[in-house]
Amino acid sequence: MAVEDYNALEGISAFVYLLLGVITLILSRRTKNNSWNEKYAAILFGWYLIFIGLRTFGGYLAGGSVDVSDWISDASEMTVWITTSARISIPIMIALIFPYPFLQNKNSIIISGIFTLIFTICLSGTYIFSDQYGFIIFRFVRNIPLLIWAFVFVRFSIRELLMEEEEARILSSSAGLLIFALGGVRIVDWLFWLVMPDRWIVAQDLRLTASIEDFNMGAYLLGRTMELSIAVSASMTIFVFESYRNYRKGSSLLSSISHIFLMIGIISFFVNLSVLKDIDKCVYDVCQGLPDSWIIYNTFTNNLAYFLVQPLIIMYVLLNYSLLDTKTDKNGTLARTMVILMVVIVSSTITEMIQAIVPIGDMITSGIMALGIAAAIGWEEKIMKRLLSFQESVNEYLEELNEIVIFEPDMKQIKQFSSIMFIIIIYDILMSIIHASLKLGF
Amino acid sequence: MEEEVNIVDSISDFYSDPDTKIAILSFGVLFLLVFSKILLSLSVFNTISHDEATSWEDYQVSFNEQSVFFDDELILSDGQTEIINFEIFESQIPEGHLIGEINIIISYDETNSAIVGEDPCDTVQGSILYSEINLQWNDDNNTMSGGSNSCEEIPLQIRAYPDYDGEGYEIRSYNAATASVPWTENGYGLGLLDIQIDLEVQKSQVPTEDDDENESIQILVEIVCFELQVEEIV
Repeated sequence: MAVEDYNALEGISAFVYLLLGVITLILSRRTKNNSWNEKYAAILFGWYLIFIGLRTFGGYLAGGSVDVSDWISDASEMTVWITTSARISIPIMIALIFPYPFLQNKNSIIISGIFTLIFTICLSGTYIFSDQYGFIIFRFVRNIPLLIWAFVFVRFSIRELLMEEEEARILSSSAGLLIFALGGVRIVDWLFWLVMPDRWIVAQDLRLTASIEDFNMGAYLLGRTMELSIAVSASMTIFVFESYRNYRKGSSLLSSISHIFLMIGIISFFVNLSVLKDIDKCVYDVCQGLPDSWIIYNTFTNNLAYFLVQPLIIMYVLLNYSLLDTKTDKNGTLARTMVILMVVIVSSTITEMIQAIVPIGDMITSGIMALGIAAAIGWEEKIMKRLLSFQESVNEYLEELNEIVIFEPDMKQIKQFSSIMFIIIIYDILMSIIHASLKLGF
Repeated sequence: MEEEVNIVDSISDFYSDPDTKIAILSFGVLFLLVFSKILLSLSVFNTISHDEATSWEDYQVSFNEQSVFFDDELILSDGQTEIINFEIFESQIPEGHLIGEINIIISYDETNSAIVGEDPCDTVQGSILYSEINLQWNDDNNTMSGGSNSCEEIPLQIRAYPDYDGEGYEIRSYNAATASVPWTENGYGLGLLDIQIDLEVQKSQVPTEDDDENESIQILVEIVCFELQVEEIV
């Protein structure tokens, strides 16, 4: 039961990501008044969402859950490798531009494009021709943006909380939200990763590496350590700062999200403890997989963090931190469509997931979904107003600190960047066809 | 600020902010501590599981088989076709076992006796019908249908677990658990199995004791379950 739910979630999520990516790119194109860092960040987020959507769709087709031909399955496998490479390189560039602009260069967007192209070709090539190093590099690199954002979060939280610079919150909250958006999947189990990562990782990953002789376990464990330690240290820092901030200044979206993750991490620790016996079997005995109850719990935490929490938070950041201009009528309509779609998709997905556990009738489910849609349409104005009521830009405060150079976004370079992204998509299509026909790699 | 800023200068400005330097440094230290803790846990503390994952050995994989049987009997009249279902639940399978293959034996006798000579055997056809049950429907070794007009048993067979043939083999792997990975998937062979039976009565040319209008047919379904055994070859 749970496996089907997971697959359905994957399919829905691919659709959500692709839709959000396209809307983000359209909105960013129509946004005229933003400075370079906001404009470039919005474009990078748009492409990130598209690549993550393609990756999720590829995973959905290649995962064996849908009845497709071997050719489609092989082609989708290649799509997964290429889009995974693209989707871990783009956040590195986002973290260098937003919210704190480390890369203050007129060519920032073209540098981002070239970096993404080279990184994607190199990493996907490693995936194809090495049975282990692509996987290891992926683990090593994927959380680097979180580390950059964690430093930004710490610096500006201190400025807000100890030096009473209220505007610093714009930077710390956006960095904190992005940490949960992109690292939520690992943060869900933060306590477990901190206390006893060994039993889980060695046992679970053994299944993945079982067919690889001479597997470089040292490099792999280093990559895993990098990935987990960034997620754990960043999340623990946010928990501490946000608890203190909550005590002093009241709650906020970031503090609420951080407290939810804090609690889920503690609960997940005990849940994971309860299946350690099954995990140990994978090392010392015949591996029989994990109990259905654990898989359901995992679907509601880890998978939900990846498939729904991530796009929701990214959407919030895009709208709330002035990365997209939603004030004009045309853009406002599109932004409202984006919000309604998200509300409807989230409510229907959650209803479906609950139905998987408590078998309620289709009539009742349809009724609940209709209620969700009615609520989304009825309260659309209120939701939008609330979402956009604190629309803030990081630039005003950075200008006060004299730490940003403001210049006009270069439209020619934006076009070149889009061309590079299309080149990656064409590369993906060609390689997928070649892989499906010739079975490239190991 | 109106000119471009070099990324190194930008990073250095960020980290050298005198008001937040200590906090940034503290986060750096926390990250290094967490990094060291996780790295030690993964590579030093739990060395037993680690060792299990770093050296390859030869393993003998074998299967202990145990069968579960279902049977049914039906009476068909001449020209009749009947579909009979067997529902296979997980609870019917011995603990720790998975379903490897399903064998079906369809048997019957000529129950009618001729007064002079013999009443010829009826013609019976049996086939496994495609359904939602998770079986290897396209396996080359399946016998999906068969028939008899001589009262011989009709054997049918379908593979449930991919590539299962009951034969042991040797494999190089990290440990017993990784060697067993191909044989740990649950769910194969569970569900509703449909078997179709057709009867055509062959009437005797001479008078018989009764009217030869129907026949009794027995169906025996053998669910071959297997338990995996993996032993290191010393």
